[in-house]
Amino acid sequence: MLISLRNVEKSYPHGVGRTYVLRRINLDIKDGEFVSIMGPSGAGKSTLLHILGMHDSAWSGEYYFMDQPVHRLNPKQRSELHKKHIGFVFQSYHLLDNLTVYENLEIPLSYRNVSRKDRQSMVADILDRFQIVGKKDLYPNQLSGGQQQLVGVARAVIANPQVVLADEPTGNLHSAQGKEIMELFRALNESGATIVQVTHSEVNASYGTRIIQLRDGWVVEEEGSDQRPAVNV
Amino acid sequence: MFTDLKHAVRLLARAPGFTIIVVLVLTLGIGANTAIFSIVNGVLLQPLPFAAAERLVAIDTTVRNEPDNTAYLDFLDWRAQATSSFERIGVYATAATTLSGRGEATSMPLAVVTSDLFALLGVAPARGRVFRPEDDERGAPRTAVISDAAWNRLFSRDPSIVGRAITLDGDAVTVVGVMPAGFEFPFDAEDPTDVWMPIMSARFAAQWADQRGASFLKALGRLRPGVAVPAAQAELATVAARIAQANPRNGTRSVLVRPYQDVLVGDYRLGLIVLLSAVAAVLLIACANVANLLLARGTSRRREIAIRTALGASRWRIVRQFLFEGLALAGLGGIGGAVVALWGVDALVRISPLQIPRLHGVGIDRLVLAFTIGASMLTGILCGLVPALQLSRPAPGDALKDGDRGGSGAHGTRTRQVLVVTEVALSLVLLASAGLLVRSLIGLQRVNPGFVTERALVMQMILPQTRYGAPADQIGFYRRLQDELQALPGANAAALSTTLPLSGSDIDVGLTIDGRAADPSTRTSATFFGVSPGYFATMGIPIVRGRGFTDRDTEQASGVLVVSESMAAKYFPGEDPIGKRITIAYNKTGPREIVGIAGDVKQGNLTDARTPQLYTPFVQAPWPFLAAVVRTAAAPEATAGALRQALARLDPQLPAAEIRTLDEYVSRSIATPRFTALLVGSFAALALLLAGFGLYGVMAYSVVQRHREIGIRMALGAQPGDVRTLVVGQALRMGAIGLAIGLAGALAATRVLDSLLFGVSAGDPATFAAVSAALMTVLLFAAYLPARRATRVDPMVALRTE
Repeated sequence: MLISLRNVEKSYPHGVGRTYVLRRINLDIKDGEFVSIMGPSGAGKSTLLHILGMHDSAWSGEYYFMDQPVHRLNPKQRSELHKKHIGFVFQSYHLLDNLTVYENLEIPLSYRNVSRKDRQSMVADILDRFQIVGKKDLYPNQLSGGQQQLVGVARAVIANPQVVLADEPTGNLHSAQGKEIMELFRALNESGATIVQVTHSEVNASYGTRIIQLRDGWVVEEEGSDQRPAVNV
Repeated sequence: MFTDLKHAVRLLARAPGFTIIVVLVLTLGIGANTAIFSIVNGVLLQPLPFAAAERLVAIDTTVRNEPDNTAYLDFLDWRAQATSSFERIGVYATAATTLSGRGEATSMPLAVVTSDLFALLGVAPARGRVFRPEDDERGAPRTAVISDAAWNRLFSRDPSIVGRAITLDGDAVTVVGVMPAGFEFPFDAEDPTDVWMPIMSARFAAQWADQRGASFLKALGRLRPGVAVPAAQAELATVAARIAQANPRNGTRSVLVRPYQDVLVGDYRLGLIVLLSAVAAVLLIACANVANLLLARGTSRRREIAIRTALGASRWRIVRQFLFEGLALAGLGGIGGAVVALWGVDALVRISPLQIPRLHGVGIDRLVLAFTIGASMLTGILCGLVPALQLSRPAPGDALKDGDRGGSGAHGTRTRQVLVVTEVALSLVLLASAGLLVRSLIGLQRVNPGFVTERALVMQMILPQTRYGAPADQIGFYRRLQDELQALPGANAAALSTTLPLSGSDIDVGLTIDGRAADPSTRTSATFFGVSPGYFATMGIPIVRGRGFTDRDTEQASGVLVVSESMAAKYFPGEDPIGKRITIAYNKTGPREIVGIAGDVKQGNLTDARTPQLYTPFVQAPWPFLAAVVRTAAAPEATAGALRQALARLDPQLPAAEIRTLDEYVSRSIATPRFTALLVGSFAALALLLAGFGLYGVMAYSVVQRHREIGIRMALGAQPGDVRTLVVGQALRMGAIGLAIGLAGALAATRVLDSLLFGVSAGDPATFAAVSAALMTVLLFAAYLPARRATRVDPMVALRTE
């Protein structure tokens, strides 16, 4: 199993009691799956995704990633694990405004101590693969929303992660741009990457093989299997 | 690493306003530190420019444990007998000589030396030779070595200068050598020496050389390798004791051997270290300010930092990013600071008291540049470290979620407050130090020197021995000069004296009191003044009993004296000194009768205790030194020209003497405390400005952070005054904490200033209260603007934003 969560919970102290964001989450995700997490606002979707991405460490329960007990790792070990295997796509792109497209793509490799020569090669490859070579010297504020998200996805996959986590990747895009991004995710999944996305969109969810419904912090429903359904858009 | 540095520089370039302000603040801080360090380096740290300078020692004769000058005959005995510890011993004295025979007569600063003094220093001439042992013989041909500056200024670098005869004080003297450019000795002379002569080549020195009572020389020794100062002290003390046994008048004399560099700069060490500490405190405050600015700016970059962390940046990579920003800012500040220091060092040397030795050699050298680089790097690390550690804390989760409003949280606010409290505390230490030094200076300026200083010109002259060697010639000149002064336009009164109080020159004479057995083991002495009849009235020195001098006190009349109140109290306690008789050791003309008691005057400087002084009519004990004092109706400077012309009429061969006012004499005597107070005060003012600026920044940021809270309070009925109180109260709380810490620090730090203070204690409550009030007032103003801005918060806007 690639990802396993057992009784994962997250809460905040609130007066004399606690406010729960996630309640007893039990979840398994296999290698190669394309999972969509859905639910109303405030259901805890983004929080769950950030826990999976190891951005959030204030939770309880058990989390196994590639059989590694994340809940027992120290911050440095988690960081190493996350750097090696996980890429993250944000709804708001979260590109670094003072870096060019090239530099935004290069920075995750720099943080992984990849040599300069290899970085140049990998960035060149990804620019080519995503057909954004002509934009490499531009800054984020010179790109459209779709182009920024394209760069965001490229940045997430440049280090060949095993898992790509996407938080509402098309939330700030119009439908044509969104379709483009989702097709990209599908292609990534077909090439072996495990995709976990948070989405409000049924259309986006249909790209995946499984849907997990969250409501008030609880997993209330799971649909689908590892078989890919037909997509009608 | 290059990538992070490149990103850091780009980030700063994209915020030019912020970068310029920060670089300016750091330029001032680093520049001031570099300038002061240049002086500390040049005066205190750089070894003396002589071979094996650590083996050079100053040797003082001590009279009842007080350092004094040395007599030539004592020196000869030391040199002959103290051979185990000393490789060489030499002596020197400073004076002035007149170069004539080449157009207008020119005064040249002179040092008379023993022939092997240059060998003792380990310095070779650039041209010709230095002195030989035969130049020390009485009757040897007169020779001189000149400085490179004198060769350039007075002889146009004439290549045939060596071997040429020049006229000094009316004597033909052969120039035998030229010293290298930059050579300076002695360092404690007010003006760089232009000419060196063997002792026997200078008439005044040759005259005194065979009088064991004439202590006019300073002594220098070079220790043998491996000999420590205590061993040399012990040997020379033994020799001094032997001399005292053989010469009873040496009974109270011993010696003191100290490292030469310590003696040279010892008096200024504390003051310079205080200045360096003060300016370092200013830099620390500047660093705290910049750290606060970076922290505030970094808060708005939480999202960026969260993204970087989410992308895999380790904490060290984030910290390194901020450190590079800090280093880039500090690097620019360092370059700016080095440029500022170049100008600053020049300005400081110009306003520095002339008494500080080795100032002429102060400049920016490799050590100073290394200091600048080191200070810049340390500054960069300090400035970047606080925001780096604060903002690189893990848990990017919240910052990455959309809708996160940023903000540094409680911890970041606390850090900024701690920085401001630190700035306030450091500012108070500086302000307290400056306050004490300024009060000390004011106290000094209020000291009554014992004479009236306003509207008085002074002209000092040295009469050359060739034309004024005989007392009759000296008296003749004195009388002609008196006549000229009486007729001087613009002069209300005029007088003459051998020396003047606070002039930096004095004559100390031994004396015996009639009717008292002379005790060879104790030396009875007083500072001597040979004066004209109108001297006391012109100088405004009161005659408290008896009379002053009149025209009837001629060289043929009975010898008379006026003594100071201190001398009367010391040597005639409980007695009436009027009518008592004293014999002065110099000018053996028999006992003189005390006819009057004059008020005390300050002799060395304003902080000195009153010392015994005695006056004789100049004509009864003439000297080849004269100082004219002219009291003027208008501004004294207007009469200076007439005074110079009067001197030129009397003797065109006498060089145009330097003319000063009595006010300048007093001012010069407090030049060092004034310099220290001025600089520390300036640094304290700068620190206060920076601390106020720092507090303003924190309060402005706090108001923005508390927008919602203020909106709610106002919606619930808070008035503008309540909101102002809320904001200002927070500022005053920080100020009060900083004040409390600063007071404790200041009480400890100002102990160090004790020896620099006059008339005020290091823990003076009034000073501490005043500077605390000043600091709180500035902080209040700094908090007022943000407080006023807070009252303009629209509750509806604030709450809607939420």
